[in-house]
Amino acid sequence: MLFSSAAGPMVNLASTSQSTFTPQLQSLETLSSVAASIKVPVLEDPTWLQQQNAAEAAQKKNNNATKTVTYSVTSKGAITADMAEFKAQANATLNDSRGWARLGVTFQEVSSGGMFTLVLSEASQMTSFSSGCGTEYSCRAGRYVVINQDRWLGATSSWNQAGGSLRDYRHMVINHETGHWLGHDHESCGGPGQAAPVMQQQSISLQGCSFNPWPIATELWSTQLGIDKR
Amino acid sequence: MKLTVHPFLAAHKRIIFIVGIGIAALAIGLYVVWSVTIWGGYVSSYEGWKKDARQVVDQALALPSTSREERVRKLEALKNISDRVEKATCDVHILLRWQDVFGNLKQHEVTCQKHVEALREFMAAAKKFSFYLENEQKLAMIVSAAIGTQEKLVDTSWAAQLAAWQKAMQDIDGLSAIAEFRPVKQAALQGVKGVSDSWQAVLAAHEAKDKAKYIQAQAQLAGAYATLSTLKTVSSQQFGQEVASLQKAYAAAF
Repeated sequence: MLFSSAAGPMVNLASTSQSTFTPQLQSLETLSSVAASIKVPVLEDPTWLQQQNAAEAAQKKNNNATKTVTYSVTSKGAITADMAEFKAQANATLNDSRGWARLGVTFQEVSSGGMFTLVLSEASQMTSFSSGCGTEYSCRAGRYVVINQDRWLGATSSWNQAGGSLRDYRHMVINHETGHWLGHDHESCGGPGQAAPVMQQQSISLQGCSFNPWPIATELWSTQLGIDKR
Repeated sequence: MKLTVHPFLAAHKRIIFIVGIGIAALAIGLYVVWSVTIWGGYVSSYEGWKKDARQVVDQALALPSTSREERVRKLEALKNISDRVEKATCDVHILLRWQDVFGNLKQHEVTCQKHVEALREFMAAAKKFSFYLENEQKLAMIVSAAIGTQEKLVDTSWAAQLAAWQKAMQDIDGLSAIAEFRPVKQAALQGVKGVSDSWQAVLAAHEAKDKAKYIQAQAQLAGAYATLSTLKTVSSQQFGQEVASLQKAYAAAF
């Protein structure tokens, strides 16, 4: 016997004359299309993670919150100091990145009212705010943060003798009296050579500390604003 | 001992001789006619069979393969074409075989055998290719089943995901693969194992409610899926080689 004859149906000449059949076979490959359809599934956050994330977000929001403290500026008695300079320097001190702004607050001057009133007072008028205020130093009485004009213009003799600058004294006195409004009492020197707390009565005695016009880390809290110690 | 001749034979020696010569001449005549017929059709028979074989092959290759059913049908057709050549032979009847000493008959036999060999090689390549396709389609089904259709997965479905990928891993491991398909199988096995391990890590972090580990496991999972998707490249490369190999065998055969 020679060849067995394959009795298949005839196909057209176009198909029999083909010599390259790659395209006809390419469509048989299914794995690559399956592999191409592989996508990273999206995992819906489980309840416990949603709760953790929400708690963290709330904490972060609380930490990052910026409170705005409004205040107005006024004067009492015969004022010889430049009020515009007083306003500008007081605002700069309050919003200085070394000062109470570290509490996460912004101090904004308003034309009237506000959360407290900053007063530049003639020395003789200091006692009109409170019996606790004297004519020698500055003080705080209720919503009034009162700066003694004599101290604003000349600081104190001890400060000047120690070589402190007037600008630093102004920083210190604004921070100190505003600190009272924020809820602080007086502080004592933490130890010889250390920076004095801003709430220390640095105009009276340094107690071995060095002059410091800015609140120290342990002073960064406010009962007035509801900000806890960090 | 003396040999005795049958009286009938002794009486009709001449007639018997003539009849014998006649029968022999007739037999020789028939043998010659048979020889001429067979050898005369040898080449045309081979060419005809070759043409017929090519038609069968081309017809199988030309089948559409868009849908899954069509692909299965085409695969079956490719498997069946090999049956057509198994009976192919260049053998000449034993009573005629001695005649290849004449003319170019021997050359015809040699040419025929070469072509049959090429056809057999093509059919073997086609058979191997069909096995490759079977392997490939089985693997595609396994992976496809594990992938599923859900895009967003809630935590209650994660354990089922892990189970699906673990099953896929077992199924792939148990897949009997021909040598040419083994690189693809190996790549799939590694990829699926990576996904399975990642799901385990996700579930462990989930059970421990450990956010840091959960985030880490999520990243691991994304990486594992990305690695698995590179199976496309491995598969395409290997498939391309198989098609080229078949194409080469086809060119040699036809």
